[in-house]
Amino acid sequence: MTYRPGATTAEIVAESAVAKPVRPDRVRYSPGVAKAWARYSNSSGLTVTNSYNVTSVTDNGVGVATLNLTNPVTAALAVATGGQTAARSFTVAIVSTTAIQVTGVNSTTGAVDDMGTNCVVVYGDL
Amino acid sequence: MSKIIVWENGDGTIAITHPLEPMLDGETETDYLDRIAAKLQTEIPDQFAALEYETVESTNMPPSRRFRAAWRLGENAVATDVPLAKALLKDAVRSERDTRLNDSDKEWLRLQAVGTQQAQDDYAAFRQALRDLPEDADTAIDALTTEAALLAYAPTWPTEP
Repeated sequence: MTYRPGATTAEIVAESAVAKPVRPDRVRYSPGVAKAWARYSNSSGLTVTNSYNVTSVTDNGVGVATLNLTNPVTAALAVATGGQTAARSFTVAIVSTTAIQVTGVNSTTGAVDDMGTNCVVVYGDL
Repeated sequence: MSKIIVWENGDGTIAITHPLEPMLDGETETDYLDRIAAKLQTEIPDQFAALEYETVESTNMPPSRRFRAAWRLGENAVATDVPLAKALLKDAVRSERDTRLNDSDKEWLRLQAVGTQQAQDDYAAFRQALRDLPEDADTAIDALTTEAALLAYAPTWPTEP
């Protein structure tokens, strides 16, 4: 069997050296791959169904939660987005390299309000 | 993980952290929760650095999120402050009353133009009942003593003619 060196992190980020294989644990460095995500719901407490690269989720109060990422993203280059099931506006703010704040706003009253099931996805560079 | 981290804010409100990542090999639950808390204090200092925290069994939570703004840190539990929950419920009743009153404006104006005197009187009585409802609701809510009773409370709204 011929040894084929894998793509480096820099090559994966640049999407260059396309002939080189990519190790499964390095796929996450690709710019097209989500760097963190979480799906959670506001029940009595806060129930996290599934997540990736998220150390914890903090329920800050009515309508506001903070995701603390395990591995930081480059905040200036990151994009965070999401959606939820209730009739709410939904904002996702990148507070720092490891903190993503999610806020729900009642579309009718304009007040910060709890949402149903929330899905948050973060892209960028690890 | 069976425990959560509860942070007490300066105004008595609480933030609740739900740890997600797995424990390290050989790590105790206490060490694990302290590590998660320390990570937050380091990485989000504006929110967490100055706060004290306690760990609480994740099952020791109020049964509903309806009075989330009235949650407070209790004895190894997150508990609803009943007097605060009463105030929230009263506000919610008033807010709903305002919505219903505003929604009735259009019909009220229509009856002023084309309605019979009886229809106008009936509708005026309906709107007055809406105006009076919060005072009656306040009395009923003040008589309730438990979170369960507050959760079960629903005012009897006047029926639109």
